[in-house]
Amino acid sequence: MKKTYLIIGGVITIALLLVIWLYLLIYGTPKNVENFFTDFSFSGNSEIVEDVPFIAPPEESVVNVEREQLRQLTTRSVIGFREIVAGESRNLYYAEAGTGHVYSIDLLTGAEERISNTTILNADEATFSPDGTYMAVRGGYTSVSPVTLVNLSNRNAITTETLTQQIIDYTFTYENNLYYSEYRSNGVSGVSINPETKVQRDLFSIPFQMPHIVWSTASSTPHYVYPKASSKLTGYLYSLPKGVLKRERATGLGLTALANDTYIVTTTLQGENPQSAVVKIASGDTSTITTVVEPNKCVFSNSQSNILYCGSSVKEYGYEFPDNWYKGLVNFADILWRIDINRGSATQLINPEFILGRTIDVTTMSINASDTVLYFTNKNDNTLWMYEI
Amino acid sequence: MRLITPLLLVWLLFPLPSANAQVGGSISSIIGENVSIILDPQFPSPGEQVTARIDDYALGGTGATITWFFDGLSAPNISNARTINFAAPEIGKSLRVVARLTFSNGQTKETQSVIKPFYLDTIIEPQTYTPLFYQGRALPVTGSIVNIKALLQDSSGPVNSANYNYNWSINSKSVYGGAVISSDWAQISVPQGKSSVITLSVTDKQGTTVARRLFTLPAVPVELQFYELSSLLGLQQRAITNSLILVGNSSTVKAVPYFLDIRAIDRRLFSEWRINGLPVTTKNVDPFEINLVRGSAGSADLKFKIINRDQFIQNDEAGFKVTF
Repeated sequence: MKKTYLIIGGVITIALLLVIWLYLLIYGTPKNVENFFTDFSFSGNSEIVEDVPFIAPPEESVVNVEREQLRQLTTRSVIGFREIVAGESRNLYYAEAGTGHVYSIDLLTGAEERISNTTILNADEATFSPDGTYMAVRGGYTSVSPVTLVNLSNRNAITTETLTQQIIDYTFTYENNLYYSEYRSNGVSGVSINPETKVQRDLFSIPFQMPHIVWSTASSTPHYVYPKASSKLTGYLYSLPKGVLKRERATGLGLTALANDTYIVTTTLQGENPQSAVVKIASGDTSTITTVVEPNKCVFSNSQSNILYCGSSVKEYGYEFPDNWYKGLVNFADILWRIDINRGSATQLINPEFILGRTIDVTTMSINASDTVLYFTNKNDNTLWMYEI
Repeated sequence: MRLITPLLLVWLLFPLPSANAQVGGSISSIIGENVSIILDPQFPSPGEQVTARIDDYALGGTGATITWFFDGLSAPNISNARTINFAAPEIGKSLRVVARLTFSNGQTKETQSVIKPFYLDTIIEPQTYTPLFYQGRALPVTGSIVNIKALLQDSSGPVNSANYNYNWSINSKSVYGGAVISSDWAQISVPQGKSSVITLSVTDKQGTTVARRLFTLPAVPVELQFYELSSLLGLQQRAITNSLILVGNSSTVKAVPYFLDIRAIDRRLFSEWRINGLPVTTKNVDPFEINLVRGSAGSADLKFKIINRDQFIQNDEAGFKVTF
């Protein structure tokens, strides 16, 4: 083969390769990326997902207020509560233990909302004014911790004020004033303070240091006081009409008492067990009742002075009651009772253990103004409960 | 005649002559010639049940007919009883009790007592520790301080203590060396023993005893109880009685020394935690607290001991089982 043919053939081959290269360079660019790169999406179908900001679930939830007569209202630990009625609306305000946050449950719809997120650290005791404007709350787990007044009137601008008084015990009264007790040189004094104007008024003076005060619930009833109860020490009951200490007949070991304008109910240790007695204030007539009345577990009806609602157990209370109950060494499976003092009868309203299969150790028993609902907390877990009468 | 008429009126108003001398002001025991009325209690509270007994042992009055009178009126349904029971009058009122003995020869002998009761309350306030949530009263322990407030009350309320002398004694020993004016408050160190007897007598400025009370002051041991402690919720109000099941990874437990002398809290106090018998040191600032952290599954015995080094009798050791 001639050398010339070989050169010509090589040049033609190179020229063809150049043409192909040029063609691919100009027209061979891929039009679809997917033809050449692996699809890393898991489904094979990619979607454009918009960046949606996280929105926290609203505080409002729905509480069951429409089913059984006996209902658990909270799973939170509760340190104070009150039913607030304003026109057609009925709300239950309660304060959460530890934080002092205030929640409101609409008793018609069951909707619950947080109305104050102002934190009162280690809040352990709270009370609401009847009109729902104020909450007095204490935190810190010491008797010298100050009481904070929380103004709930404007939910968008909750304000707080720390009271400078060294308050021992406090409650809001029927007239929306805050009643409190404080140490004085000669004992303990009761004082009323108007939360709006801060005007103070001395109510009474008690010449001893460890009183349990039964604050008046209506203008027609005086305050009562007795030394803190102990099954090993004698107690004496005093009323405080117009601020003057007046000795009532009741006395005995472990004395506790509850009163309205017609009756005084006392419980004292009689032998091995506590026994409750009723004194008719007008006549002084005394009679005994079979149900053990512990003031934390009982409340008088507003409309019928002879009716008392109680959580009470059929279990023997023992000779160390109430001390062991206060210590949390014993707890009770309470039954709710309606006690008619005039007739000397007690009617069982409900046995929670039988209905729910769990026990309720009733404490902070209260009743709404219309006498239709009992509210109380379960001492076992401090949850809030209601019973529709 | 002018003199006779008022005398006659006085005689009519007080038909039962008190033949004997009066002892005391508020309560009078009229000692007749060898006959008297013994009251139990001697100084009753208003409305308190009282037992009256005729004491005519020296007179030899057995066989005499006894008639009782209350404020001049013959007591109903009581015939010839040597002992009677009745209620003391209300506060501010007095009651004259008369016993008339009629002998077989027709002679009579009378004796009387006048009861004017006061309330004399003695409010015991032990200065010992209880946690904030405890609604009851603290109790005395041996060696601790107890304040006792005496509240003497008449129909208008508490009296002015400056008008009275108060004589306190404990186990028959005078607290202040005798009666002290205006001393309606006593501070006592609790003696050894399960209880002590305290007597309080109150006399007016004339030296007449108006009220007396005798009562016992119990002394209890220091009592340790255990509670779970939450940094947010504080002490749980249900005590750990026998065992604690550790549900989470950790739990803080606090030992609460009920009725420990409050002076001991900041003073010489010995405390110790033991796990399965071995002493442990805790990292907690409060020596009464221990933080339990779950390890492997199992259980352990936890004990806490406390001793007041100033009053060794104030001590306790208690514990519970932890299952984790």
